[in-house]
Amino acid sequence: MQPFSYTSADSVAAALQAVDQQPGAVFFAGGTTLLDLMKLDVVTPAQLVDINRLPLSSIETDDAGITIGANVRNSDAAHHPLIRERLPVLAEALLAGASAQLRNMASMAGNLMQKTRCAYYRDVNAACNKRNPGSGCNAISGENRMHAVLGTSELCIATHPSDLCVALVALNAVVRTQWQNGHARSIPLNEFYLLPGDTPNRETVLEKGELITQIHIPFDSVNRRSHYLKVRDRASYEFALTSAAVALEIQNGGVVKARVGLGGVGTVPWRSHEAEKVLQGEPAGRHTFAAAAEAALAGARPRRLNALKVELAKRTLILALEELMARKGKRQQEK
Amino acid sequence: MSEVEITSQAESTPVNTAVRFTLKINGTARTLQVDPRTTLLDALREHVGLSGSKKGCDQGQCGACTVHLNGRRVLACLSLAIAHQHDEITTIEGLARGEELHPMQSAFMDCDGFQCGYCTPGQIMSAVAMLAEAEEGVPSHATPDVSRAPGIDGLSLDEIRERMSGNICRCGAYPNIVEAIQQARQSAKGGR
Amino acid sequence: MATTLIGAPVNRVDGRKKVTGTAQYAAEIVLGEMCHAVLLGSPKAGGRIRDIDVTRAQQLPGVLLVLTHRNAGKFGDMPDDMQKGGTTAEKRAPLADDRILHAGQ
Repeated sequence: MQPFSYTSADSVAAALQAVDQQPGAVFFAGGTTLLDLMKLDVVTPAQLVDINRLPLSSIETDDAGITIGANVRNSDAAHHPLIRERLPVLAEALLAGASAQLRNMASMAGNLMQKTRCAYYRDVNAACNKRNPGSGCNAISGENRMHAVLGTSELCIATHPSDLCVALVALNAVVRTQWQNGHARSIPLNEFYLLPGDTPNRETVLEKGELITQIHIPFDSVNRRSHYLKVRDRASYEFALTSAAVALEIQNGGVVKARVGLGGVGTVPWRSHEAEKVLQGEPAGRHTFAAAAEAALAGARPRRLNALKVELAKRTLILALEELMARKGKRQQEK
Repeated sequence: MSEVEITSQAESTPVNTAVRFTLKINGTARTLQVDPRTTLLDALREHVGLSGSKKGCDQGQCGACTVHLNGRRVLACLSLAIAHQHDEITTIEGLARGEELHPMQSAFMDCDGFQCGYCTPGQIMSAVAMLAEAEEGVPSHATPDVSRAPGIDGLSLDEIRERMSGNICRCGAYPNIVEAIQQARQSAKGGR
Repeated sequence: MATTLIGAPVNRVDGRKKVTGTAQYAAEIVLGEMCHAVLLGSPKAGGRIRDIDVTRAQQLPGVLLVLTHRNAGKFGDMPDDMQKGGTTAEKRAPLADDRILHAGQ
């Protein structure tokens, strides 16, 4: 780990100013991504600005939706009664990720900002266009079983590892930010992430010094009936091979509205409008679900070792939708 | 809190790179003068003389370094010591009350929940906090309906295994660990 | 009174130490004033060391010595007799020369 100076901010304004003034300064919340990568020398910030004392730890709700503070721990969000009741896919996605200890440490905004677990990204002696632009990509011809099949480029095939984000893109979440001099904006999460393209080192639309303050999820007729399914080699504490976040609004056996997010397969948290278009207006059942799965993975670009993900992702989506339908009858009635 | 102790080898970390701060560990204030890069785990093991928290992987994957921050289980290897000056830190050494073992510690002995013992402090710290979480109504990945948590009494074997999945044991003492947790559950109701 | 231990459930003698975190493992033994060594292994699986610049490492506070193949001297022969001190899988002594034969060397 390279040396750094540490400071703790006592207000959003102080945090923004600290990061604005020092070129190598970064925001430090849960630290589970940052410290991990700093130990590997993958990231080498000159200054850590600790934002844990900022008033960003509340979960509030009104008729419009739920607003989660950036510093809310993953475990607290997963435990919140309103999230469990009205946005089950969000609670399920959170609980499917990491371990209990990590969920207690990791912040919600930090989850959005986490880095790929690509072994070549994490190895400073390997070629990686994301970590070191122009150096090449060892993953494309290397050990790429866990890598992405959607949204890739010839420069980068790294998977976005978050479960939470797959649920958030399916729920049309919005990220609220602030930066120096009173600037603030709202960014739909579906517009937050950048595909690797020619610049895999640019992962989000955030500017330097821009701080995520809140994550807002709007209530919607479709969000309450939602589900997250994660498929992986182990039963627990492992990243997804494939996963699906699904939400359905059903009337008279037909799909009125659908939301589909895919995990484990995209370079960014993957919202599948292709699957949604196939689902909407069709009878809810295996035939429709299979067609939606085909559409979702139609643009997949498999590599040497991850071709299994294409078929696995389709089956994951179908099973997620079927599990959601099976649960439909058992759940409490909508209020 | 008892008296302040200054601990750490100041000679190897000269004043111009070290920072001075105080941590509250097992009810005692400990002042350190260390490099800011010092993890909470290294602070405990190398600078405060509490080697009960173990370094298994040093990258957040094994759980052997599990400690409590304000009663919640976290990983000391992925925590910076300097970032936790305002928290109550509890380590395995702080679990027993003098000679009286915590029910979880007794249960691990009764059920032979270890072999080499290296993961054991982390397992115990994790298990104690896990039961507290269950009592608070926290659901898990193994809960069929996230809106209905099982509570401490309703924890199935699958629930216990899922909730303890952040602690690995190379010796494979898992069945006995689960048994120990079930035994300790009886004493845990009502909290400690 | 005779006591049969065989087949009886008996608590381990090291049990209390292990559950209280007071059992001492090798890395935790403190013997007064100690030096600590950090091993740096080769990130590459093969090749030849062209150069090692130890200047910055040597200047770090508390560093007593940076040992490389250039200043290590000869370690002597690796033991090769099971009856007298055992054998090793690798016959080359550590820091013997500038050749890299495996990752982590």
